[in-house]
Amino acid sequence: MRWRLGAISLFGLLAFLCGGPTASAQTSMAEYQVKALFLCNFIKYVTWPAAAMPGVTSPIVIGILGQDNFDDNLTQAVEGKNFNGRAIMIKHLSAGDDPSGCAILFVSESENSRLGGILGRIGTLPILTVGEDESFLQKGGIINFMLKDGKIHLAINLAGAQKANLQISSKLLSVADTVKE
Amino acid sequence: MQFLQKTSIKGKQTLIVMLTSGVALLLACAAFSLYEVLAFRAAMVDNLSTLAEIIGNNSSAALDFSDPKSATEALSALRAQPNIKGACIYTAKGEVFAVYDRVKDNETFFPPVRQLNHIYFSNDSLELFRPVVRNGEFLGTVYVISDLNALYSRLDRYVFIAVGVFFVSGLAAFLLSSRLQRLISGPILSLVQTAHAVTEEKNYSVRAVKESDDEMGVLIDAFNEMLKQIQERDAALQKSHIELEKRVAERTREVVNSLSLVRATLESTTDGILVTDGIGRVTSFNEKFVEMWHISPEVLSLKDTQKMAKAVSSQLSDPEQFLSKIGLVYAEPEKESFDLLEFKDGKTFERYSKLQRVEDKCVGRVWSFRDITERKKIERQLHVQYAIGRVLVEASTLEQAAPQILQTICENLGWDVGGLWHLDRRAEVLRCAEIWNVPGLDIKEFKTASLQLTFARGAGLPGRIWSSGQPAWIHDVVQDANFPRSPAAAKAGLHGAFGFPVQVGNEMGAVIELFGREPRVPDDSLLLIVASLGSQIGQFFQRERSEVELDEMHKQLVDTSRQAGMAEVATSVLHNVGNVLNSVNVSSTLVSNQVRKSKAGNLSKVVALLNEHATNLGAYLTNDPKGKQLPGYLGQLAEHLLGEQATALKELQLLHENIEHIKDIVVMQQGYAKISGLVETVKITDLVEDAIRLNLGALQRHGVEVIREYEDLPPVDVEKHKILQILVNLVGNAKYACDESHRTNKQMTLRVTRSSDQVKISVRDNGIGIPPENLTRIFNHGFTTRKEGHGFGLHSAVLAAMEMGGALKVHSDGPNKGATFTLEFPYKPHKNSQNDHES
Repeated sequence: MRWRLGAISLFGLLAFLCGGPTASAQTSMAEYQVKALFLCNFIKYVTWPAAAMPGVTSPIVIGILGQDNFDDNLTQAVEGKNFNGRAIMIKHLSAGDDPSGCAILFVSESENSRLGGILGRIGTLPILTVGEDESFLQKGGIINFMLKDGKIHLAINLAGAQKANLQISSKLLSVADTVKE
Repeated sequence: MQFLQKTSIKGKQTLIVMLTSGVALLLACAAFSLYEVLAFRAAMVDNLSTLAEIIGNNSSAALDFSDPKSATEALSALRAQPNIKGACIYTAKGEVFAVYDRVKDNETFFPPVRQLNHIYFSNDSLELFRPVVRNGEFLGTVYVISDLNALYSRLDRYVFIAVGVFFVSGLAAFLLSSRLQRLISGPILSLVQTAHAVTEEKNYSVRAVKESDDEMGVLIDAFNEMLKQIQERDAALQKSHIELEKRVAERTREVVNSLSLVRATLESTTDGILVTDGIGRVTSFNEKFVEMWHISPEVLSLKDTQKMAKAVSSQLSDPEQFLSKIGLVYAEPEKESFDLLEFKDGKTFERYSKLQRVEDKCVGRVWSFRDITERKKIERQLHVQYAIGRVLVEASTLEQAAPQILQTICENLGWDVGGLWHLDRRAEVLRCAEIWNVPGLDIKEFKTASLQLTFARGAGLPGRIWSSGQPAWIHDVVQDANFPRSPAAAKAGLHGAFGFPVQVGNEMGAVIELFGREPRVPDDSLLLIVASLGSQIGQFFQRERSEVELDEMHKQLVDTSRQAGMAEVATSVLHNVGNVLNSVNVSSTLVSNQVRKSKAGNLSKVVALLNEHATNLGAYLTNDPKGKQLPGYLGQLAEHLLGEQATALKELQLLHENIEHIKDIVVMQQGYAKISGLVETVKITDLVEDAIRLNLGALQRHGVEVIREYEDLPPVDVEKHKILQILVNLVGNAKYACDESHRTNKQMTLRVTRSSDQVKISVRDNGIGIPPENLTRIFNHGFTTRKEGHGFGLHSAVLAAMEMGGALKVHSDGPNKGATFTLEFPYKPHKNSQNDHES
């Protein structure tokens, strides 16, 4: 844990030095750094159906669809982490790739124009879809990152989650800005 | 703990119970409270931890997604916990993430510096840091601070309850103990009450009631036993006390009685009495003592014999000697002492100091003082009188007696020169007959002057005494103009003079003059003495005068009787003759006085007058005033002369009778004179009868019955006149003794008895008897009990008896019991009594 704390503080320090927003931890960090952390944290508040998580040690796959803006932030965020003995694996996907097998699918903004198709394809698959477009939830996405006042806010589509057979913890809901029923 | 000593047992017991239960209760309450507080604290910590846990849990998402708002919301749930003062959430990095502040108390909460897992109690708050961990990931820290109001209010409640419980249980304990303690204090209190009753009422008959068999029971038994013993002793004590009181009361009565007796005795005696203790402190005295010594109250308050003696010593003639003798008395505490105290004012005290002994120990002294001034005076007077009496008895003539009289008077009364002035009746002057002076005094000139002088009546000191018949004195003759001998007296160094008369019958006989070297005024006692001396000497003068003639006869008789060897018988006869001669003397004095005063001389004056007027006798007797009275006067004269003649004749008749009496005596004496052999043969009874006969007249006159008890004796050879002398004397005395007794049955028994070698003649009378003290000196020369006796008869009788080889004995059973005189002499029967006893 030590090194991780050190890494976080290092990130903080870096963000500070880069002259980013200073008011909070979020602001002190790069947008994608925060988004990477959030992505990891979602694992803790979302329960996948048992069928979606075969075995007990199979890794939890976070898929990144489209352009990867995380650089290596996400890699660092998941580094060494495991959830109930499951490691986290990052999988880069392109628009045509089969998203099944992913627990979380981050739809990069590069794919915003093709959101309908992507989300349609996914349908009711137990995949937590996370996007960065205002219409993301309308189009069937489950969680959307919204940048507001230099801070990343969450919007959650509870109905979409239910459709995908995902249980979202009320705690997560409590931190979300908007929850679409 | 001082007050505990005064507290009753009941109080002490209550106190002990209350203290014990109070302390136990207090400890229990304290332990309970402590436990409660600790438990509550633990519960608080638990609660707070849980609370922090919940908050952490609830805010984990907020932390995960950096949402302070929702974290703040989570914290705001604490409003339901009013005891939480504030709370905050730190990020994993320690930054404050969210804050909760209990605004209602207007205190602003400032989050402290984050700490890891930590619990901290302060006075008024409980602080707690708790990490927020999710899935093993450290997300941040929750900090909560709670006030301790709940704890304190709970503590308050506990205290309140504890106090309540304390009081309630204390009350319960008090009630309980005060009931239960009676088990112990009850018997003690009843014992104490019993003891009180005993102490206050002195009633030892009460008993404590025994209620239990524990130690108290034993104590009460012991107490009762003690009481019983005390009661017995008290009864015994009471009994002896009553007896003692009775005895004390008796003793007190005795003591009071004897004290009052002592006091009364002290005050009734005529002696002054002072009682002191062993070292001279005054313990008692009587009023007479104070009066005698003129002791002032100040001196009395000295309370010390020696100091008092010093204070009064100035009254004495020789204070030094007095004080030294008193000092000596206290120097020798076991010795009694006597002293004679002479006072300046002439008083004389006898001083005795006797010991007061208690059980053989000397505890004090009794000083008694007797004023013997009067006795001394009388003694001195008696002594002078006695001395003078001796002189007078032994002297036969005045010439012989005068120097001795003067010497005796001077020596006894303290004069230096004495003179006797005899009244020369023919010259009607006083003539100095004798001058005596103390040896070593040159009074030649004074003596010569005195012997040459004569004093007429009223002239000089002797003359004045003569005329007044009273004692007289001159304070200092040298200063006195009316004292012719004053130059001579001055030369002889004489100053004081005193004189007194010597009366013979009713007439002046002589004057005695006394001179001293000091000017002197006679005191009362001197006047008293000289008055008696004057009459004493006067009697001698009288006797001397009457005995002058008797003396002559006496001498002749003594001479003749001496020649006949019968001087003693003559003395005896003269003794009788002397008595008769006294009457003769009186008669002759009367006759001579009568003749001297006779008016016969007046007859010759009448004859001279008649002769003068022989020429005209008729005219003279009828016309002359003197002559007219002559016949009457002659008549009276004749009558008077007849009276004188009758008186003279009567006296001469008496004189004649007396002389006849003397003649009888003398005839009888002559009868004896004829047969005056030294030893004659006589019949004793004849001699006894002769003795009776000689006194017969007197015996009959006084009515004395004579009883004769004669044993028949043959004639004996005796000195007849001696026996007769003795018997006459004894019979005379017996008659006198009977006469003096004034009894009606006056008796005299004459008894003649004989033993083998002794003849006894006893003369017994029933007269006045002889007191024992006189029995021994009755034979002394000069002893007599008769007014006119000479004390010669018995003396010569005993001498005569001794000369015969016999004895004269006296016996008397005492005054008024009669007396018996017994003459014993050797029995010498005559060899030829048949022939000679009649001669």
